[in-house]
Amino acid sequence: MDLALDIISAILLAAGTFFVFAGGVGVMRMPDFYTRMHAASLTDTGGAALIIAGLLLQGGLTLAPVKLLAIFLFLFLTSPTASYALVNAALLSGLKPRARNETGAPLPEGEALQPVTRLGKRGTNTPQDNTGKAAAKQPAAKKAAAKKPAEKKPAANKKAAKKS
Amino acid sequence: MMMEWVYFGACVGILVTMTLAVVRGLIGPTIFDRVLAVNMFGTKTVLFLAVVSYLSGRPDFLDLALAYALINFIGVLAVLLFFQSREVRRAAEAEKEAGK
Repeated sequence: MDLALDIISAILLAAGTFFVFAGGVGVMRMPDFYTRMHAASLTDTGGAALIIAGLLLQGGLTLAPVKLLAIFLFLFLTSPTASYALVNAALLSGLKPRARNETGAPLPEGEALQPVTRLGKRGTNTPQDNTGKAAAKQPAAKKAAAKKPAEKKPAANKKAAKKS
Repeated sequence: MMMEWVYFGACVGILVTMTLAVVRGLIGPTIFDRVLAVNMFGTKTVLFLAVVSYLSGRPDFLDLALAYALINFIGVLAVLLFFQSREVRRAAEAEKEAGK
């Protein structure tokens, strides 16, 4: 039992350390502030949760797990808040994300697209696309709807015939 | 005995990450990169203290970790507020000069 607990907590600690280290490498190597923020904020919360979970299993019946739980709750609430506040401050102060055009070449300075319009221009989330797909799907759905009653009706008729 | 080595490995990994965060804080091109590095360094310090408390068998370190987590969060928010108000002040000054 003890060995199983040890192995589980060792796996959790190793996974947490890997996440934390991946976050550190991401913060060092990512190209601009927002991507760095992405690497840091996710691994801050995830790695901390894994490491503290690994330590929790080793606590036994003392006060230590309670304190660990308090640390975990606090980190879990404040780490995303701090990340949000940081990105919000950066956006408000006019720091633009490094955007790329459709061919993958970096856009010239001052022509960075806004993230929302960028999603629309990609052609995946445009309203026209959605309506087109919906229009293409509707006839098929109508056909299916039309088929089902047609199939059911003869069956019902047969049943009725058998009963009678 | 096995767990000591696991704690030790976690300590080393967290320390390397803290070093990477410090390097990013030193070379960070914008002020927000530096704040991000400080925030990350603080979180890693909390984790490091927690692991060290288990490695050395002294649960008192967990209190330090908790206090550090509190201070880190408040500190990052205070620094952000400071820089945000500086940006707002600069924009207002630029508007005044443009108005003149």
